[in-house]
Amino acid sequence: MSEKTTRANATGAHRARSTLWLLAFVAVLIVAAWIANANPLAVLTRDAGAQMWAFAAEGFPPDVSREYIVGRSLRDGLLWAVIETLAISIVGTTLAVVLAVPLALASAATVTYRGPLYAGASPTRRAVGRTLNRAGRFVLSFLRSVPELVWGFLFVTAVGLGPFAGVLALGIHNAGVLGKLYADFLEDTDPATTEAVAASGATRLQTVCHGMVPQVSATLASYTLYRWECTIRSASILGFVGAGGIGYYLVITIQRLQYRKLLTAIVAVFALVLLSDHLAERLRTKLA
Amino acid sequence: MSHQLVFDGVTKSFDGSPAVRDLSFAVSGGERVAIVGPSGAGKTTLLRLASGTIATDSGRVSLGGEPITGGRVALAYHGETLIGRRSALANVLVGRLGALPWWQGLLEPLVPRSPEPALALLDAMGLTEKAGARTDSLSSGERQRVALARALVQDPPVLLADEPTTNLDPKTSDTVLDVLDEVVGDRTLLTVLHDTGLARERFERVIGLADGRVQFDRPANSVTDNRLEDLFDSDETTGDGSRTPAVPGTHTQNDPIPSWHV
Repeated sequence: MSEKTTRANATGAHRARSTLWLLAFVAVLIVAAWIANANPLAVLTRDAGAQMWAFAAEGFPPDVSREYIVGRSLRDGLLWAVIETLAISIVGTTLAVVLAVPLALASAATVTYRGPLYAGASPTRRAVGRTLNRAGRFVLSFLRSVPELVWGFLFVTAVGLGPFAGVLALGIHNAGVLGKLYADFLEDTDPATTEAVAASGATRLQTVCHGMVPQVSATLASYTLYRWECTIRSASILGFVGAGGIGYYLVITIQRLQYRKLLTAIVAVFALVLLSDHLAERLRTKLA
Repeated sequence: MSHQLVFDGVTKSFDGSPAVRDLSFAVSGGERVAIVGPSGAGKTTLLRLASGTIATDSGRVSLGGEPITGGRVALAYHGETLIGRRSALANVLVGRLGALPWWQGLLEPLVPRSPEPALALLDAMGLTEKAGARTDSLSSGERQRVALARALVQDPPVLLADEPTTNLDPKTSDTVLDVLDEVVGDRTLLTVLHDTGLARERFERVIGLADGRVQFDRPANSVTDNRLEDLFDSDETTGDGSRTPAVPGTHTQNDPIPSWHV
């Protein structure tokens, strides 16, 4: 068979595979849309538009009264709830990072049993590492598969109503998310670079610190900041279960049909998200 | 203690494909040897075996009759294996980790308590002013020199260098080899070089490697063009069937960084 024919066959097979993948994706999308009752036309009807407009119009003008924004003692106004939301997100993300680091180290195959760190390791040592790795991955999957709202409900029952329950909920859920991300990034590090550090006689921990982590530190920082932005949004709804923050204002104004106050709270959340976006972007630029 | 590096019937395979087969040779203390050969000949594997980074499948590598242990043989990897986000000094200090208690080693490259040896080496490499610069801001030649300093800071009796002139123009190659000559002193030096011209000009002895086997092992001045042509012709196709571009004696021949196996 000539080289030209072989190349043509390979290209044809590649195209066929790509088409099959595309068809499979379209099939999955159709089934998923059917299950989700997805009907884009439903929101385009005149009635739907009028209803949405009527709902939105009830929020105007937003309530910016001093009593609502600042409250009577500063700590019972919307402004304090915004500050509390920010505080919950900062402490929650920090807790998540603290928990995620050891879990990620246990869950990264390149740290526990594979790659340059284990070039001369015994089969028993590798087997122990593999078991640790699987246990770590299992814990991470569990932590992030339970939604923050459910963790929030759980911690409200454990430590009572208030922002600390929110901190714990965000910290635990995001430890699962960040731990998986950190572990995946550590597994993607360049083995030659890692080996070059290990070859200097460094211990495994030193090699991880000075050979693997610095390769991905900017990415780790960037994703951590992204998760912080996510926790601000999450912290905004944890108040639904009594875990502090601006979510309390969202739920209470919806329940009492106080749409002007609701709109003010939504604008506050939006401003908070914009602020966090801006801060995160500046930090990312510094860390790049 | 004798610093004779001995390969005795060494074989190493990765995923069932042999990288080096039945290698046997010795390098005396203070000797300077160049390893040449086509891509995929097993040159980098040979260095990794000599440094003790990977274990042999069969046969033995020894230094002064003893197995290779940390601190006695240092391997200077490609400049691309430096941590780009860290300074040249921090990268060189990584080479000292093996000599430090584990807890001190966690901080030393970032907050050095004794940076003098590393700074002295950077000075010898002509990089004093770049000590604080991130290595991803350095040129290829500068990175290569930092990588050499990272190995030399271990103060090993035997230095291995993996293509220290790779990706460098002829002038920078010469500079790097001049610096290497100067700082290596009376240590043993085993260097993989793609440039056979430099190997013959600047080393005492040349070992030709192809298909994982030693094809010749001769004083540099007796390595003829014909012998080099035979060496590169003996392994003219690579594993994927493509032809290895074998033009000995040019500065532009570079191996890709080898795919990494452990």
